[in-house]
Amino acid sequence: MADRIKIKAVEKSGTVTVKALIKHPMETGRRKDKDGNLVPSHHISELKVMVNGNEVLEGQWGTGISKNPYMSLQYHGKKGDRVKLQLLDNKNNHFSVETVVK
Amino acid sequence: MNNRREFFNTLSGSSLVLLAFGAGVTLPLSGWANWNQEAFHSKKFQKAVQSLYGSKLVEATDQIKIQAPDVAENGSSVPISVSTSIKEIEQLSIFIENNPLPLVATYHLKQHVIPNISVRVKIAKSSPIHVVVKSQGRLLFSSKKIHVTLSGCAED
Repeated sequence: MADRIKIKAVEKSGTVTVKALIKHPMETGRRKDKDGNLVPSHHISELKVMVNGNEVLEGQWGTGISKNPYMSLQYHGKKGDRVKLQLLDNKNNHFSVETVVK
Repeated sequence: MNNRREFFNTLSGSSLVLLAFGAGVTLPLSGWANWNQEAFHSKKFQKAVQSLYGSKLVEATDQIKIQAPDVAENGSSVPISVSTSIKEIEQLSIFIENNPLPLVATYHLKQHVIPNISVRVKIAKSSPIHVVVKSQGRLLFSSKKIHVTLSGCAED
């Protein structure tokens, strides 16, 4: 499922910017399909960002995050750091992706 | 009559067992199991703050910068950037007051992270956005109003 997430991490004067784009329907559970049935909620609930194996950010998302979420964060780091993004949705699917800081 | 009562008694007893069993089974399955369901399912901003932080006492501050458009044409994807000069942040959360479920995201920041986070959110109707930050045991917040032309949530 690695192709679900696009991730990019770039270092500039000691600050690493990590940007990620995730393919996910992010259903709120309030939308109705064309037959009028409620589409069950399906959204990313938790995320973790690890740098060289150390957790730097832990987050929880609700249904208010847009479909195909985009996120970015910054940390004090260097080129060559290994950045790993782990995600978990409310249907218990795990996704993760790893990249090296450029 | 007696039989019927017994039947209901045993039924309620067994359903209790089932419930307990169900809880025991689903908990380990839910992965990291940190998701704060109570806060995310709160329909009021104040209540969500209370269930997330355990306190409603928030102080206004001008040290949190919320970057977002004043007018969003399409509420289904509104970019928001939050940055702050406040030191030693433990937790940062984004709330959209007029959304059906106001709490949108909450982050725990560890060492080395710079409090500068962007994300795209859904906004149901024109609403103030609140960012609540927990730092050194205090809750601080800033707000920004966004006008939405097209709702980002399903029409009922």
